Amino acid sequence: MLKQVSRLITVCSSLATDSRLVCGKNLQTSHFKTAVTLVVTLLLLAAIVPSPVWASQADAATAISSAKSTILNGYNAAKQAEAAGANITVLVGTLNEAGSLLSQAELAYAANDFDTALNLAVQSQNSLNSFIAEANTSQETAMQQQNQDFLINVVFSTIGTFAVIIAGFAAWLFLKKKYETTEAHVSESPKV
Amino acid sequence: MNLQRCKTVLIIITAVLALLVASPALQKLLVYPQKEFFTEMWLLGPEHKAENFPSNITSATDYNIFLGIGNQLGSCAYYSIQVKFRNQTQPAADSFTRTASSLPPLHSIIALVADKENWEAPISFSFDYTYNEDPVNATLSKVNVNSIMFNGATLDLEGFSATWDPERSGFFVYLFFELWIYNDITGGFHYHERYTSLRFNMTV
Repeated sequence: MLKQVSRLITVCSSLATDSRLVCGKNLQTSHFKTAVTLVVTLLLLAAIVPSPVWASQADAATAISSAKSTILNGYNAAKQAEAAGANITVLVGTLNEAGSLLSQAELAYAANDFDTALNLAVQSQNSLNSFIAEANTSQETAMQQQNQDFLINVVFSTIGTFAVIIAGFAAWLFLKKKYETTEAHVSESPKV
Repeated sequence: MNLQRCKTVLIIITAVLALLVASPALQKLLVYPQKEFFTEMWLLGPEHKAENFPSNITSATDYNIFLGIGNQLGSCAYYSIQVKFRNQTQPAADSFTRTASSLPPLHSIIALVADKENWEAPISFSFDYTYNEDPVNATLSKVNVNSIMFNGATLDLEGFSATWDPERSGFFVYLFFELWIYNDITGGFHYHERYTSLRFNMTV
């Protein structure tokens, strides 16, 4: 950029020199020189000092893109927690708040209000700072609960079923034996 | 009680008890009839009822409606509602071919909804438009819509116009909301085959 600016100054100076040769009047030359210097200074300022609008637009676009990706990551974490059996109503509520802020940021961006867009996008991102950790905690809790449920509902229930069948069989054997003993006693007893 | 009868009673008691004890495990194995998975989408009027929707509108007047979604997909969903605006000659979303309008959205609203839950948001809008007068017939020939104020933000619509509809006697435009859903497999939003729209007659 500096190279371009110096080239610009050279071009302007040569223009000023040419005009002095053509006009041949010192007064006009000095006015022209002042004007050229002013233009060069303005161009220099424009080149060096970045335009606040454009910088803000780029920042807003980056912040919006970043907020979108944060929401997507949050959504994936919430889905995993849901798949593990967690109640994700609160998590989805938090995601929705972030989504609402992002929508507002996009709307402000579309209306060329880049400062508001940037502010809202950053707010959206910040609202999900601890979200992944919360979602992971919910997922772990749900998995523990699922394991406990599996132990109670499936393992204990299956063991219990086998125990009942074995007990029934044992009761049958006991009754059968008792019946046979009683029969034997009846047949052995002397007839009157 | 003879042995045979005793055996029958014992088998019945054992079977009933075994079924009772096995029921929690069986519950996990049973396959319930599959329910239908879908998403509901609705618009409500300013009084939060399905009535008094804005239809004959005037320039620079605020209108309020409510937009809602109900998730019955069996898992949480990430929706994007694309807000679009068209005149009578521009393409609309099609219910029969189940395709979205090819028009670019004015704005996208993000909604994340848990399974069996609803999401609703208030929508406010107003239009800034002017009329073209036909000097020969002294009639209004065209409406030029300059901008739409949507939820407090002014969106430029320069070049958008609506012509006179002689059949229905009015300058008609449509504000419609298309439902898009995030697809985990493709990693992008897809049209969810649902839209809802409002038709406005732009009056003086």
